[in-house]
Parts: sequence; C-alpha cells; structure tokens
Amino acid sequence: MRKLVSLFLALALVFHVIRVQSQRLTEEEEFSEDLLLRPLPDGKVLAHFLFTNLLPSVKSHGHHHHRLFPKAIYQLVQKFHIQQMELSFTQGRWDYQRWGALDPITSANAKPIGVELWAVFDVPKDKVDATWRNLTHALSGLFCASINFLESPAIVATPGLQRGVSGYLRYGALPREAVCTENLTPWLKLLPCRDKAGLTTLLERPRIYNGHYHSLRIHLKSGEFNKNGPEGGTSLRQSLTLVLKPSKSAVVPERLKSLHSNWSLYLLFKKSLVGKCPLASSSQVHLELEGSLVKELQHVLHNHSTTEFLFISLWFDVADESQIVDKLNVVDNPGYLLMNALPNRILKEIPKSEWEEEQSVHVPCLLLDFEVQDYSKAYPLNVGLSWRAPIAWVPRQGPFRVTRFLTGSGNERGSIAIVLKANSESYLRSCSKFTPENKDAQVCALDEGASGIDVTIFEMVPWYVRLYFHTLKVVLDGQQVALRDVAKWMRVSPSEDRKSPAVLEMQLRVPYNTSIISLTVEFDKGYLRIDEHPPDANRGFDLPSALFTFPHLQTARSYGFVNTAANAVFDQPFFQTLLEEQLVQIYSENLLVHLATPDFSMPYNVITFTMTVLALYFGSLLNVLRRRLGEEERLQAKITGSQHAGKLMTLISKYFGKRSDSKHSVQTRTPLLKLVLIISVAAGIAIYYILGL
Amino acid sequence: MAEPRRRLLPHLASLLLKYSYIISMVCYAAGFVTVLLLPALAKSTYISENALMPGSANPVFGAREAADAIRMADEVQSLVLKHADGYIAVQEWAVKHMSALSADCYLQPFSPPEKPLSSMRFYSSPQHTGRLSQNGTMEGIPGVNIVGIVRAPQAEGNEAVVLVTPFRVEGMLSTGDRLALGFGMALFELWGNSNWLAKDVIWVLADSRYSAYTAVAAWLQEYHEPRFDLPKDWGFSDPSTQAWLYAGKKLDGETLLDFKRAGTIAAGLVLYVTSGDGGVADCIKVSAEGPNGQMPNLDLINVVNSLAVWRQGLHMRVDTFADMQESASLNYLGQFLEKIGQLAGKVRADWGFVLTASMYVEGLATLFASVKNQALGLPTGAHGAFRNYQIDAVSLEMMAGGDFGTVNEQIDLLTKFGRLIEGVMRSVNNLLEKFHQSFFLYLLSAPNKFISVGVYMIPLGLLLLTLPLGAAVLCSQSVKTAVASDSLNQTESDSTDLFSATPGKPSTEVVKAGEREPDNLVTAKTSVGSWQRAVVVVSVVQLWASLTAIFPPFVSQLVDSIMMNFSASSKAPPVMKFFTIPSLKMFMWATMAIVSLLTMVSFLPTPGKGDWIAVKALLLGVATIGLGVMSQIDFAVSLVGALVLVPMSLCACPLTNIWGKSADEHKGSKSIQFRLFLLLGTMVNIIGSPPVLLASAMYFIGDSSSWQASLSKFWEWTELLWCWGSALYPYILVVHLPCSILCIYILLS
Repeated sequence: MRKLVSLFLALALVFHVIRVQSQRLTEEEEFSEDLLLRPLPDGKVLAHFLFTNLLPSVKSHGHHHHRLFPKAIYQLVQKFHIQQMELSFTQGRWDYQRWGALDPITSANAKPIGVELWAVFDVPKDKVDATWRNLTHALSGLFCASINFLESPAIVATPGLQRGVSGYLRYGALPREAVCTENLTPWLKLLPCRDKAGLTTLLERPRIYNGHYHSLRIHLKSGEFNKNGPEGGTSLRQSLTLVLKPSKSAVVPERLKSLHSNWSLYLLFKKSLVGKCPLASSSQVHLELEGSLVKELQHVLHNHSTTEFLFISLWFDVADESQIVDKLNVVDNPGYLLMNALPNRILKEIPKSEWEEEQSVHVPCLLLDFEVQDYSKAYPLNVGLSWRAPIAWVPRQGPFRVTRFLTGSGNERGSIAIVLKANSESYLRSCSKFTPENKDAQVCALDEGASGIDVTIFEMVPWYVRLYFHTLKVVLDGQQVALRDVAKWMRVSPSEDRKSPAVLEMQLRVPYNTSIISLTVEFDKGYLRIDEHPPDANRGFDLPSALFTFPHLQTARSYGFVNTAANAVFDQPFFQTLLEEQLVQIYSENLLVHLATPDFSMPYNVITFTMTVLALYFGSLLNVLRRRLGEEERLQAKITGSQHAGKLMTLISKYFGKRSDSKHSVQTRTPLLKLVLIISVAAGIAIYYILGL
Repeated sequence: MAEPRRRLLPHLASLLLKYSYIISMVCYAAGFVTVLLLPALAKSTYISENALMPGSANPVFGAREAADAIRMADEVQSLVLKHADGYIAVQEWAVKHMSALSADCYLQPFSPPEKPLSSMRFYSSPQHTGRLSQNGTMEGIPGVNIVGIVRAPQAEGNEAVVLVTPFRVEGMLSTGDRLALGFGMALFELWGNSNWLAKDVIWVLADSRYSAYTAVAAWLQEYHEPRFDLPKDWGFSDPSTQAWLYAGKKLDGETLLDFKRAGTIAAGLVLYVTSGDGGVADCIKVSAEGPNGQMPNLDLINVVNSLAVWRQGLHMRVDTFADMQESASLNYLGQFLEKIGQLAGKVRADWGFVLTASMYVEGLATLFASVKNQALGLPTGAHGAFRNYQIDAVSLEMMAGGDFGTVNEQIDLLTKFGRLIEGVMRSVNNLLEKFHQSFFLYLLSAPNKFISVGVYMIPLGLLLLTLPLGAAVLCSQSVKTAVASDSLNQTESDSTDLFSATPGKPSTEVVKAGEREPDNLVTAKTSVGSWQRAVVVVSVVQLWASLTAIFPPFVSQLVDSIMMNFSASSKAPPVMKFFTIPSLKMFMWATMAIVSLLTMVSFLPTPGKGDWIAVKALLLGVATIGLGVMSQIDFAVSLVGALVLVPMSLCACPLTNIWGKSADEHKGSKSIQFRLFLLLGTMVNIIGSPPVLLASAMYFIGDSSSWQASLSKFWEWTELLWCWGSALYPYILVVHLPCSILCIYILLS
C-alpha cells in the first residue's frame, strides 16, 4: 500500500514538475521545509534544515497582509532597501577535507566562525553607510546578538569585484561572537510553525549545540527594488546546518569496531518526526548519498556474496524494483541497511555535462526523498542507516585545500601566510588531464584560452594589524614568482587607523600542475588605546577568515528520476536552491593575533612609579638649569668678609669650647645633625605605626 | 644676610664618599647574606589566574585507559622489533591509530643539527636545526617527527596545546619511551573522543635520535617560521622510507608530509617516563628552565604542583643539589636562622618565621640548583625550545617509586599520571587568555615556594651598589691626589690609600678649588692625562676581550679546513701527536688570545704614577655596566658573577702598596693592619683571576687524566655555550675576562 502511495506521489510530482518552468514566480505566499541528511565519510552526519518563505512582488500583487512571511523581515527589506542579505551564526569549523567543499549545500553553508553579515542595498551611495549602520542595529535587536559592533566602519569592508552585484555591498564579520539558543529562538520565531510542528520539532537544544558544526543562516533576496531587472518577489531562506556525531554504543564487538556508527533521526536528535508543519506547502526529508559513496557501495556489492551480510534484513524482505539503482539496492545492500522507512522516491544526480558523465570517476549522487506528511505520531519518521561493511569514501573536495596562519613570534611583527595545497582528487584536477585540442574543453568550465586555475582571494584585516602590501610574496611550488605574472587582477585598499580595515582582493591564475601556492604578507602590530581593548585583552585579537573562490567552478546540482532519461526539474525551493549557480567558496580559519597588552591590573603602580621618575627628573633638571655657578661663591665670599656673620655660630662654638675658626666643621656638622634628627623622627614615626598597627 | 646654603644632595654624596669603605663592606656583606637568606624570604606559590580552576573537573582517565596505554606500548614495541627500521614502525603505528580516530596526522622530517660553531650566529635562535642549503640538500639522516592533532569540536581552532613525548629507537624502545608512547596515545584517544576541548591538542612524537630538543625545535621552527621558497628534498636514500613517506597517501589525497597547524600555541607539556631512581614514592619531576634562565609562567608549574600533590597524591620534585643537603656548615646556618626566627617571633608575633634547619638547607640546595640551571643558560629539556617562541612549557618526568614491576603497578602509576596530565590539560583548556597573570621572573626554592623578582633583585642591587660608589670615590680621589701632590698648602688632603679615602669635600668642590687657583690648572691637566691613558687601557682590553669572544668560529673553521687538507693527503699532521682536534682548537684559541693580548699590551702608553686609580675607577664602571646588562639577559649569571667580580674589582690595588715603600713619603709608613687588608684583597683578586678560575673549572668539569683531555673538555663546553647562545659565554669573555685582566694590570702597576 505504502509503495503504491509513493508511486502515485512520484507520478503526480512528475506532472507537476513538467508544468512549471525553472524560474518560478510565486503567485501567493509559500512556505516549505526540507531536511537534508547526508552521511559523512568520518561517520558523522550532516543535517541541513532549509525553510523557504516566498513572497510575491508587492507591486504586482499589492500590499496585503502577510500570512506566512515574517513581518519583521519584510520591514527590514522595506526600510533598508535590501536587495540581498545574508547573515550567519556559526559555531565550530567546517572540515573541508572530510566533509567536502564542492556541492551546493556545503559551499553555501560552510561559514566562518562567529557572525558574518553581508548586504546589498539599493540606496544612493551616500546613504549606504548609514543604512548599513541601521541595519546592523536592527538585526542586533532581532537576533539577540552584538551585530551592532559591525556598525563601526573600522571592521566593515566594501568588496570591489566580488559577487558581481549591482547595488552597494557591505561585508563584515565578528569572529568572536558566541552562538547560542538566544540566537536560535528569534530565528525560529520567523517560521510560521515556530518549533511547534514540522521539522523544527527535531531541534532539541542540547543535541544541536553539542554537535561538531552548527550554522544558523538567513538569506534574504528581494526583487522589490531591482530597478533594471524583472520585478521579483522576496524570498527568505532560513537554514540550519548541523554536523552531528552519532553516539557510539558503549559496547561494540571487536569485529564491528571499524564500522561507522549507526544513526537514525531519533538517535541524532533524541526526538522523532511526527508530522509536517501544516502551513508548509511541502515538507520533505532527503537522504543524500554522495557519488563516491555510491561507487564504494557498488564496489562492496561486487565483492560480497549476499550470504555474508552481517545483519539479516528484517524490514523489507523482498527487494523492490524501484529500489534498485544501477544494480544497487539503495535500501538494503551489503554496505548498509536503510532503517525504519522506505523512500517515497529515489532521484539521481544529472551530470552537468556529457564529459562528466563519461568520467567513470564521478558516479552520480543519489537522493532518497521521504514525505513527512506520510508519518504520524503512531508511525514517526525515524529514518537511519545501519552500516554493514566498513566503507571509506572521499567527498568532493575543492581544487585546493586552504590554510591561513600567522608566522613569527613576539609582539612586534609577524606575517600572515596563506597556503593553498592542491587536492589530487579534486574535480578540476581531472579536468587538467584534458588536452587543449580536445573539443570538449568547454565542459571543464574553463575560459577559452585559459591556461590555469583561477583562485580569488578576499581578505579583510583590521587596522591594528598593519599590513605592508609591498611585502606580498607569491611562491608557487617553492619558486618565488613575480606578482604580475600570476595575478589577473588585484585590488588593495590600505587600512586607515580606526577608520577602515585593510582589504586585499586578488585573483591568481596558476598553472594546472601547481601543487602549492603560498602567499605571505608581513605586518607590524599596532598599539591600541587603553579603552580600545576588549575584555580579556590578553586572549589576543581575532582576525576574520579569508574567503577563497574558484571562478571556474559552479556548484549547481540537479536531480532527475532514476529510470527516466528526461531531465525533470523539480520546483520545490529545495531543488531550486541546489540548482542555483554559485561559486565554490572556501573560508580559511580565523586567526588570533597577540598584541602588546598593557598590564591592566596595576595602573596605580605604574602611574606612581612613572610620576616619581618624572618628578625626580624634572626636579633635578630644573635645579641644574636655575643654578648660577658663580652665585654661591660670591655669597661665600661675602660671608667670610662680613664681621657679624656667624655670630651665633661663634657663640655656640664658644659654648662648646671650640675655637671660632673651626667654622667649617660646624657647618658640615649641622646638616648632619639635621639629617640624623630627621631620620630618627621618621624612624620613630615608622616604628610607632608598625607597632601600633 | 643668608648663610650660604649647604646643598643636601651634594652633602649626602660627600658623606657617602667619606664612609664609602664601610658602606661598601656593609652592602657586600648584606648582599651576600641576602643570597643565603633567600630561602627564608620565599613565598608559597598560589594560582593567580582564576580561569585555570585546577581540579574543578573529575578526570575520566582511569584504569581502563591505563591498561590501553600499556597494551599499546607493548604493541608498538613488538612492531619496532619486527620492522627493519624502528622509526618507521613507530610512524606506522602512530598514523594507524590517529587515523582511526579521524584526527589529523602528519610526519615532519627535519635535518640533523648543524655542526657547532659553523656560523657566527650567536643569539639568533634557534640554531639547533640545520638549515637546508640553497639547493635543498643536507648532510646526515633526517629525523622524522610524528604529529597528531585533535581538533576541538566546537572551537575556533586558533589556539592549541602541545604535548610532546620524545622517543628514541636503538634496536628497540626503552621501557620509559615505550610507556611514554603508549601513555601519549591513550591520552590522545581520550581527547579525541572528548567534547570538552576548547583548544586543539597537538601531540608531537619527537624523534630524538639527535636530541629531543633538536626535534622539538625543528618542529616549532617549521610551525612558526616556515620557508616556502626552498624546495625540499629530504634525501631519504632508503626506497622503502621514500615509498612510505611520499606514497603513503591517505584517503583524502594528502600525503603524510602535509604540515598542519592549529593556531597559537598556548602551552606545551613534554612528557618523559623514567624508571625512577629508587625513591620511595611515585613522583613527578618538573623542569622548567629555558634558554638563558627564561622561565615559563609560574601558574603552569603551580597547576601541575597543585594537581599532583592535592589530587593525585604524587610527590613533586624540582632539580636540587642532593649532596648540599648533607653539608654540616649549612645545617649550622639553618639552625642559626631557626633560632633567629623563633627569637623574632617572641619579640613580635608576626615577625617570626618558621623555618626549620632542614627546610632551610633543602630550600637553599634547590635554590642553588635553580640558579645554576638558569646561569648555565642551557635549557633543561625539550621545553626550552618553546621558550624561543614565548610559549610556556614544562617538562614532566614521571618517575615510578620502584622499578616498573608488574603490569598492575604500571597501570596504577599510569592512572595517576594520566589523571594528572588530563587535569593539567583541562586547566590549560579553561584558559581564556594566554598565560599572563603570574610571575615569569622567579627562582624556585621548593616545588611550592618561589622567590620573585622583587626579592631576588635586592642582593644584586646591594652588590652592584658598591661598584659605582667605589668608582666615585676613586674619581674624586684621583683629582684630589693630583691637586694635593702639587699644592702643599692644601692641608685638607689625607692619605692616598684608597680604603680610608676620606675626602672632606665632594669632588666638585675640589675642582672648583682648582679653578680658583690658576697654579693648579697644570695639575688638573696631568690628572686629565692619566684619565686619558686609563681610557686607552680599558678600551684596549675590552677590544681584545671582544675579539677573543668571536675567535672560536674562526679557529674551528681554520682547524677543520687544515684537517680536511690533511685527510685529503691521508697523512696526519705532526701536531696530532699531541692533540686531539678539540684540544688543538682550544690550544689555538688560547694561544691566539694570549699572543694578541701581549701584542696589544705592548702598544699601551707607559703608565704614569697613580694611573691605576683612574684605571680602577673605569674598571668599576665597566664592571657595573657589564653586570647590569647581564642581569637583563640572564639574572642568575649576573648574580653569580657579581658575587665574584665585585670583591675582586674592589680589592684591586698595586702590589707595591703592600710591601713596597709608601707612595707618599710625607705620610709615613702604613700600619700592619692596613697592609694585611691589602694582602687579603689581593688574595681575593688572585682567586678571582682567570687562571685560578680556569684551574678550578678544570677540577670540576675537566678531565683530570691528561691536559689534552681537559682542553678538549673546555672546547666542548665552549661549543655548547656558543651553540646554545648562553649568556654565560658573553659574561665570561666580555665582562669577567677584561675585568680580571684589568685587575691584574692594577696589581702589577
């Protein structure tokens, strides 16, 4: 029965899809929710929640009361004339090597740690900064985060040639911003069902904040102010990307130790999925199997005889025809067993080009879709994988893996080094095997006459790290090369103290066989004023991540039905998102720079000590400057000449029985006496105090 | 009509000069006594940084992990025994386990240390890693460090803590190394599966086939100062090694040689496991001295101490002079201090201090060991390499009470140490800022007692005070002598002997007197002449000393090239009958030094009568500056140096003053006491002079079997000090040597 339903649904969808063209203009508000699950090569699981809210253009459909679209966001769009905006809150690092870098989900959702915000405004040029400032404050209130720190122009960049947008772009990042539930709650409030129904019910806070990666993201796109282009509605994409580690059961038999941990929705989230959000037009869970994983599974299938299964399949006794893709049963195979649910439909990645199809290296990805509405409290959706064989696979990596680090030590200077190392397994690498004569060169997505790989670098450095751009050095495979030989273009805006950060944007074109690109820029560490130090100043200062893009690589991915050759296009926002042509983005780690920090704990000591030294210095200097050398001698001479001088002295000395000509000794002795007196008084007071206290 | 005001400061100065002899004596004695009193002045350590919170979490490391550690230790040992190349066996073992944890791991080959004295670099750290030459090749077999990184799950990854376990394969692993590796892996697995890490953990398995320091320094250098422009060819001749290193690719397309980083390093821990020296209890020995007496933040030691003592019930030790604790005289001193403490306590309750004699002697022995380690300027372990990059690091040597007997004992021991290391790691992990709260300048007199810079500056200050005072006295005296010898009507002049120098007036007045009477201008000029000559003498000696200090690299290269030529013609040079190569180098260095000194001395201007006063004044000034500068580089060197150099330079006076006729006929002969005093001073001088010091050094460090062996020993020490950039080397050659030469000059004048 269930199979019948799914078949029917699939058919219905096919017709639906054929009706709709790729660029869809919504007639009315629409909300949809999707969850993408993907097993990762290191045993963890990627869970990507995507909530899409579409609002038709106000101009064509008139102002009306929003039913689903969050009012707060719509007001932002109206007030600040936002063309595009993206805000992300991220905790944890995306591991590009193990979790992949090339697919659309990864590339768009692997964000730098902390807060990243960029926005494109459609306002006059002189109002951009003010608008940005207001926007940061508005978002700060909306999301309970200190985004308002981004109002300071000292940490906001104006990228020049990135992204290719028409309006005015501003970019800012707060690498130190902590992410917590207080950011998640307002984010959930924007959803029509909040976390009361639908996919969001899975979001059990302790589980999702205990993961290895957590990225909360909002992407807003509005055609309302697009003067030149076609009028469009407003779309709001809210996504939450998690990488969770399935908990290992305490006792694992030795023979199963090499297997990845089994997981299911319940094991990951400690919640089960009991139904969709009633307001959502579609609510689906997708399980994506990467091409390289599918290839490995086929490999396992090939090597195994069916009798060697570690577990007996209990759920589904007979393999359904529809479950078999390229001779691989996607539900029950020697590699894994799909637990607790059958997919409603199975989709297969459509190769972008014939060339890609020919490449046996790239086995297409598979997507198993589950309709949430089919499940209920009595029969919750708890899809999961139970591994049966140790499988290791490599995700689609970018052409280069990127590291950025600081070199040198001490509080004075250092240098920032960026090292890009080629991934031998990458997609583009295999392109390079093509000879230029090959007429299929176009499929490598390269410019005509291109003779290498392009890499774009965007780096923003706060002013207190004073970069010296003339020291920018590029070394390819151990050979230093002149900048003009490799840089296609470059845009540098030096920093201005307390006003603007240094921004470096450049595009490098390096030969295909380059395996290591390294760039170094030297810097001096600046001094901050005492009130410019953040709390815990001795921790150091975080520098935002650098962004690398590869202009020849697009991340679009489209799916089609397994057994039909027709390139079906699905109109759900989820598939639209996958289809969008985006550049492959890779963020580097953020850096921690130690600056010379004053000792905040003892300003009093420092002040008194400095002041004492200054007083002594000025006192003695003034003394020397004011003294006239001849004066004293003249005085001396006068005294010896005068008769009545020292009468008292003479008397005293007579009294002590001394001759008056021993005046000298008296004179030397008097200050001595004074000194002794003063010292004894001081000592007396001191002793009195010490004893008294 | 005002009386001419006696200015207070000049008057005080004149008083100071008048009683300078007594003041110097008192200051020196006080300085000396304060050094001995330092253990009594030591304060108990406390944890200054609140964020560390040692012991706030219960460690999870338990007997199971310890058993794992021992199992893995046995595993690696069996692999090493099986494999032809033990190092590769360890590498394979480590990479296998780390990859299973899905931790990052890589191998870092490094070149062997360069030959000592092959370059002029002295203070440019670090010198221990050989640099690749321009064509990217090098001599010797490279070592290979194995490094694993556990990425903290939710952190930014811009901070890291480093754990180092040095190991050496000599056919097999020693028991200590084996256990250290297994122990390190157990900890690494623990951290790899934990979710509380806020900083990445880097585990360096340091290949200490050259030395642990070399390996760690090489890794740190690559971490902090990578060279991108040198193509690297490590010259592994063995094809199997090459295959393993280059083709040993992991799944994601990286080779094993892919160097990875993890941000700013917050702290370093170097772990050793040793079988102990038959102590009664399990204990942990902490070594912390870095290059030139640089210490890690005291909080790091405090954390280890508090966790070891209060949590794990381990005994903590620091380096000490064991045989000093039996010294009878020190025990008497301790008992005396104990009495004083009790007495003071009776007078006023809060003046008293409880310091038993045994505690005092123990403290003093530890303190002296601490001073010795700092003064030598050589780091006491691989942690020293971290200090070059301002990273706080300590070496923890885990010593079993008995021998590693049964497996149960090993498990018990490793459980304790594992919980300790985990606790330390949790503390450092808690740290939000870098170590900055506690002390960096301190001496340890016990694992939980320290003497901070504010206290230990006092004795040096007292010692150094005497030098400028003496110089000022001599300065005023030299002017006055010149004046007095010609103008007999000046009745004020007392005597020329310097010890009872009692100038009635400060020197400025004397100069003024000279100005007033035009006849004295001539004498003032002769005095100026003696100063000029003195300046020439002092600068010549200083120049000579500086040249001598930079001779060794030249001598070394010269001898090496000569040897090379001879070895090419396969005929030993005739001198080799008498010398080994190091002793030849030492001999040549000494000869060059002496010859150049004699040459320079022969060019000196003929000294006038009384020139020695000016020379001595300058000597005192130079010594003050030298010691002052040294105290900034390495305090302990300066303190030890001041104890020797101060009495030496203060007591220097011409020998003729002792037995010869008095220089001043009109003053009559000197008293016996006075001559005795001078004699004593001369004795001090002779004791402090280079030949005597060398002889005593030869007695302690040299090989008494033959003089060649002693020379060799000396050369080795020179090489050691030079290549570690020890402040002791410039102190001996640029401060002490010229000062003692000048003392001898004064003695003989």
